[in-house]
Amino acid sequence: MIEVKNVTKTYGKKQNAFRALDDVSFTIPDGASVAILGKSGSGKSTLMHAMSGLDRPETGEVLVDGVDILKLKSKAVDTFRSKKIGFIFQSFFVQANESVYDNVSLPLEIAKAPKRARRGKVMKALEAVELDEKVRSKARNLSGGQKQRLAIARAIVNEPRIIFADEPTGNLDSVTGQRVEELLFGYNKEKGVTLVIVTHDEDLSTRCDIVITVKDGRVESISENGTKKSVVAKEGGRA
Amino acid sequence: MKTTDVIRRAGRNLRQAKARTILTSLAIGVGAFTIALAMAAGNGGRSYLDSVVSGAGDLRTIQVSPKFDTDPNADTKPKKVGAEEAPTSPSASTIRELTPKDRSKIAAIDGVEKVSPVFGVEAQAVEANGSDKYQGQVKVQYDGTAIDLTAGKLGSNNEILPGQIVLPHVYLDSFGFKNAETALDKTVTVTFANAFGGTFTKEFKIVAVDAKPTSPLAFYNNEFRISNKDGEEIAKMQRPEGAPEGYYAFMVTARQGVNVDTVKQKILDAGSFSAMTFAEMRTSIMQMVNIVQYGLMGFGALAILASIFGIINTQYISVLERTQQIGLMKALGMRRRDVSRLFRYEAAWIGFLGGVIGVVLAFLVTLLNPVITGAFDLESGTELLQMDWLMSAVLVVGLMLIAIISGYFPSRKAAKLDPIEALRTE
Repeated sequence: MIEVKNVTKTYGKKQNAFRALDDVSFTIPDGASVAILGKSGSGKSTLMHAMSGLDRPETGEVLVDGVDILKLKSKAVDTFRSKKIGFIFQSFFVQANESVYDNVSLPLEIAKAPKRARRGKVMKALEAVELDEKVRSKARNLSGGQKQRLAIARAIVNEPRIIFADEPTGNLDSVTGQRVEELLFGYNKEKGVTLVIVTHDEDLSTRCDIVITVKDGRVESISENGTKKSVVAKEGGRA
Repeated sequence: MKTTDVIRRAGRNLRQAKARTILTSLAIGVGAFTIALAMAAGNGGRSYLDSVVSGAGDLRTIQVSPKFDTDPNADTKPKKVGAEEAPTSPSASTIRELTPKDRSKIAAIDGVEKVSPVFGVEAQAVEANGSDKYQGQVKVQYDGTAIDLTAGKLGSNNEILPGQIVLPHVYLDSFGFKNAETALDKTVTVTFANAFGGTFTKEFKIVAVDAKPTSPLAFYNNEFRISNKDGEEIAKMQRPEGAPEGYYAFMVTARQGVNVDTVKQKILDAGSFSAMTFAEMRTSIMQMVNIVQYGLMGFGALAILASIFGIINTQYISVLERTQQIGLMKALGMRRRDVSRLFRYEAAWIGFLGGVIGVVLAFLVTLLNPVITGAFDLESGTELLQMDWLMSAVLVVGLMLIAIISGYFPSRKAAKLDPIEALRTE
């Protein structure tokens, strides 16, 4: 379970201060698929960074399985990310010069997984995204869709509890994007892993269990299973 | 991250930037090469000199000469004629010869086995086996320096006894000897000039025949060697009448098992002498080799100093180029310490490569030993360049440490990168 409580993040100082997140609160149950929907500049990426421990908002709490990750020391946050979180980015961030195998094994190395266990895990992850035949190829020789599948393999190899996907289909055509979506939602349903997708694509968001709409750093609405509930209405005009 | 994984990734990152890695390593390699070669030359030079010098002297020998007295309070200013004090010696120092009295004084010192004065004797002619008369030089033995022999045998500590002579091998043919063995026990007659313009002859028995020395630096002369006692006798005959008995120097041999330096100190205490042991003479020669070696190593160190800036620069560029990669690794939970280690190990690899390149190049140069030996006209088989593998290993490790230290600032920059900012960088 992820609980976000009254999180506020400000950039800049005094007159130039800009509230990227303004008193944001919501709860995500385990195993849910969640879309954080918003236009660019709405604060949706900042929200993802706060939830994943990459960023530290000044106020509020982010409780993951009951632990406030904002209060952890940076070493503990690093461990938290390497053990519990998988990331998928819009521009893939696969290491072009490295082989497919080495790309996927990086999170295992960071998490200090024993060497003997690595090969099996890497191959399993690659099979899940149907890239096992490319294991020796250099990442630069892959197509865009293959690169994003490689990124998914890298995100799931260490069996995380939460996967954050930042515009996962943003750089892909609709056919390959569709395939990436299938993989993500399939993995979410099959393994019960919480999937948080940050997107501005409303079509993509409709596939999720929960859609959190963000605007100007505030949560505008939270809808579950397609039924839209206004946060404003829920929380009595405050937000 | 495990250390082995960091080292492996560091190596892989370098392979992906081959040209840059090799160029940076080459810069270090130049310095490493200079230092490794300096060490090889020092090594070879020392062992070569050692082989030459040990053939030229005996470690138990102490050379004793009169003290060159200088009075530090002496007034060296020119004096006007008619001044109170008449000028003495312009150099304010006195040179004296060693006397027989000095000789007995030194001989009485505990630990001294033998005192051999240094004489020069001049021979007018040598003949043997009924041959013609030939010109020849006679050398008086004064210490136990080894003589390379083709035939015959000397006494203990290479001593030549009175009445004996060592024949230079080049005279075998002229004297009509078939080989060195047949010359043994034959008689050589030497003609000397005496002090009155006349001559006298003396007969010696050939006890041994010398050999061509293995080293050209051994100052080999075609000399007939005779005992110190015979030498003294001949020198007495050749001394002009009325001239006092004096010597320029003594070669003192310390008794076996006695500390040579202690004997030397006793000699210094005994009177106005200056003394130098053979070991000291050897050290002073070795010192020259060391100075040359350290000088060369200094140049190498300068080259390495320059290459440090190369490493720093390369690593900074590497951090800039890989900002996104660093951001990703940090986002995936890589610790700052591990990011920093990754870059420091890369620097260590560069240092290692540079060191190995330098040492291997230096080794390749040592393969040219036969060419160098030929160019200097030295005895074949002489190796003027000898690799010091242990020190080379120390050099490589040292370069790795230097590289790690140089990589500190770039690696700190990498470790401090904010993953969000880094991932935003296109």
